[in-house]
Amino acid sequence: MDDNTSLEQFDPDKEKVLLSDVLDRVLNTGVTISGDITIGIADEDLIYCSLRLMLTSVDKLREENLNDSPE
Amino acid sequence: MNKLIYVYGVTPNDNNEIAFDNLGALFEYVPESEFGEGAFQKNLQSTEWLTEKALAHQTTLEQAAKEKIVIPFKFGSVFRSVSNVVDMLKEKHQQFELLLEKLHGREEWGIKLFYESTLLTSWITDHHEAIIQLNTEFKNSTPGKAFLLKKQYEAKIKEVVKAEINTVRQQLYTEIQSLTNYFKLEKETDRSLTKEKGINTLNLPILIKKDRVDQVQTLIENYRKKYEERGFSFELSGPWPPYNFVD
Repeated sequence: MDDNTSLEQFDPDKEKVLLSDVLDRVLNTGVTISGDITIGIADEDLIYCSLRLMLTSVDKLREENLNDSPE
Repeated sequence: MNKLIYVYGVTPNDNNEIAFDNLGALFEYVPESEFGEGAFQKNLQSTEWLTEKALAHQTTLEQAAKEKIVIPFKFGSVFRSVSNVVDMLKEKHQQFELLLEKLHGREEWGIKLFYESTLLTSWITDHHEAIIQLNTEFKNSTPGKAFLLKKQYEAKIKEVVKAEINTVRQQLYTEIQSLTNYFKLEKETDRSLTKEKGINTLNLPILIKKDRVDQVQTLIENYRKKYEERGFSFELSGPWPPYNFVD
């Protein structure tokens, strides 16, 4: 890591928001546009399930990266 | 290379490149090689790709929401041409107008309630009068009677734990409703994702007037002060783009 750059401000409140919260909203909510001009997520439930399975490890990874502070 | 149009959401028209009447699109040109029908379906299989794009979707809306009202679209709303986007704005004009009115001066926040079973049980064991009394009786009784009392004692603890969870849950739910008419009871979060926090027993996105956010924060702070030692925890996240309030 570059010695001259300072770390971005760490916001403990921000870190509480899990990636899963973002995905919950982005993939499940918001205006759904129907019609053939859009490419919706066809098999949403299926994708979502497999995604959730992997989520825990993604969040864990993020945590580990945070803890793994550079010298 | 062919370009598609990824629409993040709709905003009031402020000389937006794609607009209809008073509505503007918040969009980005994306390559067909990534978002075209086949490619998109294939990319969705990749957790890394989906995570990156979903976060970008969130960040774009979050930034925009700092300056203007946004009506967030669901992830992956891709259009083939500018005229298709304009048609969509035209077609949904009335709906979007009403939404802009509703969202004006409001933000989405997320409230979650968790409980940690072991902590809650031990707090109740130490503090609940009827439980303490049963425990004393149990300790001072003959082995035969103790056997029966133990069953009773355990059943009572279960009952009190359940009642305590439901009381806190209902109370929080009711108090939030005194601050806003816009709330949505969502499915509780998957247990495996939140195990460090305990079990999620209330997942409540709300749409709240900006000048009332501090009241929500104070409310949650008060709940923390009172209930955290009992094994409850409270999560307040936001402001979010109003994903949950644009149906």
